[in-house]
Amino acid sequence: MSMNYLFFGMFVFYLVGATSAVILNKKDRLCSYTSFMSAAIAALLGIIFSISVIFGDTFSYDLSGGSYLKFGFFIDRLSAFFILVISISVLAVSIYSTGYVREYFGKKNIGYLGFLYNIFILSMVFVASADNAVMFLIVWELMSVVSYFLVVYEHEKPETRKAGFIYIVMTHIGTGFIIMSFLIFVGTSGSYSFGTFAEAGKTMTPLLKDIAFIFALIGFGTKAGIVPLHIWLPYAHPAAPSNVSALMSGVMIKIAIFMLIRVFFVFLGASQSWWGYVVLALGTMSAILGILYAVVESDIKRMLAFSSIENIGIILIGIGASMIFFADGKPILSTLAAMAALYHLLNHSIFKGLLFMGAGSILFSTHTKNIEELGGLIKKMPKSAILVLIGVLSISALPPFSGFISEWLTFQSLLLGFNLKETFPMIILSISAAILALTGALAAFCFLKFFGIGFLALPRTKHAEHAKESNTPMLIGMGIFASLSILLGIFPFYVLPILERITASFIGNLDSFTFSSFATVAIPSSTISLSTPAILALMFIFMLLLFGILFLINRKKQPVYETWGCGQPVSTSRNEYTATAFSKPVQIWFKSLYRPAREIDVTYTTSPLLKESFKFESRIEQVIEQYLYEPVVDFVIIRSRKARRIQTGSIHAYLGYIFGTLVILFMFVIAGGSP
Amino acid sequence: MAEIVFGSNTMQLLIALILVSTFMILGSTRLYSCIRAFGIQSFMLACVAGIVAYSTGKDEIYIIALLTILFKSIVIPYFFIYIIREIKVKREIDLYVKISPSLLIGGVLVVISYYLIRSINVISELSSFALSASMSLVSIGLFIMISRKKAIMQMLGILIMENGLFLGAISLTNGMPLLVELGIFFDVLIAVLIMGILIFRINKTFESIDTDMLKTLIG
Amino acid sequence: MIPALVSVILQIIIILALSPLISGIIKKIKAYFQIRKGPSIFQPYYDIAKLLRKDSVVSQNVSWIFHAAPIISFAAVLTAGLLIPIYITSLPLGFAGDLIAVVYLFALARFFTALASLDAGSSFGGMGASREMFVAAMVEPALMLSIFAVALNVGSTNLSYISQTLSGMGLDALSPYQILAFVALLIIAIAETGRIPVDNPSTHLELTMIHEAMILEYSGKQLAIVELGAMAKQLLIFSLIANIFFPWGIASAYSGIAALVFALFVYILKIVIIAITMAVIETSTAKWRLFRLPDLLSISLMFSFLALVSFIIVKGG
Repeated sequence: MSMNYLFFGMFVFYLVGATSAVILNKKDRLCSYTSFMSAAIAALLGIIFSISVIFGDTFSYDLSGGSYLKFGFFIDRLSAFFILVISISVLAVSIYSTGYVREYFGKKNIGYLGFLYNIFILSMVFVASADNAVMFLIVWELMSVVSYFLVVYEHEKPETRKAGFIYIVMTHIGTGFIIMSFLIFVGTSGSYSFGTFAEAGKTMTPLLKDIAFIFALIGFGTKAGIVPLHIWLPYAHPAAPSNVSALMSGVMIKIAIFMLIRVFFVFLGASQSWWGYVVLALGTMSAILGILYAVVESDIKRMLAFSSIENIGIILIGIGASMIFFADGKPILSTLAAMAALYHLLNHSIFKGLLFMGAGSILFSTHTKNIEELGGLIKKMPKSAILVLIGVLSISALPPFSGFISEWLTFQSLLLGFNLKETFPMIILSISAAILALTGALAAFCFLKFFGIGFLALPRTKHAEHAKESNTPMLIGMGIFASLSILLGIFPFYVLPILERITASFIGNLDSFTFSSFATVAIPSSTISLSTPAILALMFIFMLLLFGILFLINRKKQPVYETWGCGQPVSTSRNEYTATAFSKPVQIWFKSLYRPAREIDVTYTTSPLLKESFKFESRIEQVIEQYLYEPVVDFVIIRSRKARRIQTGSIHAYLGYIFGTLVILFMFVIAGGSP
Repeated sequence: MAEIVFGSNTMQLLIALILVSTFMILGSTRLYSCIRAFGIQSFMLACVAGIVAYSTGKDEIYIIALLTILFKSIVIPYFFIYIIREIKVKREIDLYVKISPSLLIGGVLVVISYYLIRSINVISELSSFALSASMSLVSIGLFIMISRKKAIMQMLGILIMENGLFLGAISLTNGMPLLVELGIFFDVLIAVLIMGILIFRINKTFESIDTDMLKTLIG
Repeated sequence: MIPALVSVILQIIIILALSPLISGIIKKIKAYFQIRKGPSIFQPYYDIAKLLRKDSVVSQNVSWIFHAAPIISFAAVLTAGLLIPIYITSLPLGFAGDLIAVVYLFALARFFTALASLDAGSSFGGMGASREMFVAAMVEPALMLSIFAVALNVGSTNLSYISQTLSGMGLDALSPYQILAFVALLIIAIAETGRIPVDNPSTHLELTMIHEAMILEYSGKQLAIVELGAMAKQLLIFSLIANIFFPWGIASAYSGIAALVFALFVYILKIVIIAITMAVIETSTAKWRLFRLPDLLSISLMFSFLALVSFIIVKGG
């Protein structure tokens, strides 16, 4: 009974947040507090609710009364997990937002933002809890439309408008494919309820199953940002306000993964292993392409967006492996791979949220998101810097932080592929592991560049010189995520049993195998184990010893002097390495992918020896956008132009169209009605 | 009998080293390294033949092994070095396909060869390694001919293909009849000599043995 | 409990005591090939002692990261050291991490050193950090495939178990896939320890540096820690190669002082042989251009891929 209160309490608080935002929209400060703190309270309720579902029973509630319009909630452990992910993110981001939106006080309508924010989160919760296809599609569309408005919140900028346009078009293409996939299930089962889809999945012909698989993959893949359907992500996530980007990257793209798991495992029964291979291949491709484009970016938010594509790829690698194992009848291996994927999903929503909030803090205090213009922030914003550093260490998968655990688990599950007796999976899984290793190293490269060039040494421009520390709500929000990153890294053995309950809901129960014992993560029936608390403890001991030794030896003062500049008396920021220079080796290595183009424009004064101005532009092509999308878009536009000829402007022509259509319809009725 | 021989650790080691030498040829941009690697490859091949001869007791295979060492490990590499010195070619190889992609394609070819051999059901498990290696050598030899510009590399490619076929023949049938083997040998030797002479002539006439330049000789 | 603590402390002492000696031996062998006398093999000890006595000049641009990085990096390397079997296969702390954890601990050490080099704000630091992370990215795929090849052969990534199993296999441990993986790991070791042809550890020209450029700003006792850390990492990488590919002679349990001393002696012998091999490789090749390094690492990747494929062909299917 109390679960009802929790769930509807959550729902109520989001509505309170939304309505209060509308009512109070003239009073910026009060409005920001009520709408965001309301969301935070709702998130807290959401966390309690989802944990009780995971450890208890599934929750369902039927609101429909009529025959056609069904409206009900069904939350099993998988949905509860995603509500948990949503709620954790919303809690931290909401607290952060109360500080962040001070940027917009007086300039934009805070009530509008607060309203959209709450409705957006509410729609995501509904997507996770819908129990039938119609309600799902309605709230999915609501989520897409509300997020569009959030993306174009700063619509005064033309690039934001373009970003919104690409986003709305891509998301609707995706929705179209989702509808088609659902229609196959509805057609087979005769009902819109998700509960019947699983049965329908068993009775469908293999061809229908394959088609449903592909449509669902394309549809939800567009929302998740899988290559080659990802092109909207690098536009939309940077354009939105940073707190919204944190939610979009952290949570919204994960909802797509949630539905992919539902469709593949629950509805379709993951019976074909070639599906798993396709998912694995797409995941690997997204991972490597995502990080390759992130490495060469100097815009912080665009870099984070590409990194999200990379991490979705890593999650899909885990899910693909899980599907391959499941189709081969190996539930233990399948569970391990799925746990790795879900762990990474949780971790990513936390550390990506942290990094986006960090980017927001940087934007808030320096008004620039170009790494090339930053520098020295660690001295101006010391607390934010440490929190961002924790996010950077997590995303680079370094021990003992959270990213390391999920990457370790993913590698171990790929390694276990050698328990399958055929050689094809062994080769594919090893290739995937090699590419995953490359991805991880490039991610470390990318985020080292971000933190090293953005935060360390001297400020490169006036923007960075005038940076101030972030305000308290922002620090609290980031602090929550930073602590979670550390905790999820040190205590994975508390998280894994929870994940096991969740994977049990779609893979099946494993009776006697446990993946964790005291302070360690262990792979069952092998000697492989990992204990991050032990590693952390060892490191602490060594660090203390070293610090002590260094402190005691040679207690002279340390003279401070200029950085070594080959004997030249230089110590300006002009000497520092730039972000572009830092990523140049990778750009040269993958030259054939990036196709860099360089343009140099020189204007001379009267003499050819004296230059007036020198413009250097270096560009990188987005290969998929250029060679896949642009031709298709051009084709569509050309055909549409030709089709415009129907619109003659003459009333007689339009009446003629109506008449023609009527005649054809009459003929259909006649033909259909004949016995 | 052959299965037992090819299942032994030493044999697998030798075949693995043959594959390694092939990749050394693929991964190198220096002519001398390629020729040296080819010499090593032929030597290992001779060792393989020697082990087969030892275990089957057919003495003719010993002769083949010796001939392999003599010609393919010593004479032909020296002949190549002689050509290089005489023509004073640039000792760097120009490539149509760069090193890293060539290596990756080589890896893919090895995997494809393996699956190709597996699809023929008559082959037993143990000699499948030797057969996949021989298929790999043939395909990688062909790939070297396609992707390298120098005429000498094309000769080397044919020789690698021949090595591959030899390895395949030994592992399938424990060596072909001596006469056939000798015949093939001398064919190859004469072919190399003719190619050598032609290279001299081409160089004398056109001052270059870059096949890129030779492309302009049409119509 | 007590033997475990003693074993741990002993392992740390051995690592710290042996690392400078190995560096010294490599330098001596290189000098021998270059027909000069070279410094004494104990010179690195004297160097570290000297550095500990000197002032450390610190750049005015740096933050706490510069001061913390040597400590964090060295701690990470030592932690990894406790997970690698040195003279005995049973590691009291072996449950804490496997081979993959060791690789990532090294990555952690490298990350902080690179961060610190960007902290001083010099171009050399940026260049060193960029190149070092670039080389690390190239090495990762080959390293992961080699780990897979070894792990498949044995059935685990747990280092104690790998050593134990392989030392029990006798000469069978020299199977073709092991040898291929060994060659791949040798190339990777050259890259990770910063030796020719990847990096020149004794160059003084900043534009040719990778690792040295990262630590250019360090001096005094901090430089001592950084140098010792690099030497320890080198020793640990050599130990990995020695105890995975040539594990005979390693003690398997506390079976008496004599057996332990013998195992230690065999271990030192193996490491010295690997050091000599490295010196020979360094002397016989020249440093490669930075953008030719992907080719070298592709060769290593192919070796490890061949190792995997030959394992699959011979054993699997």
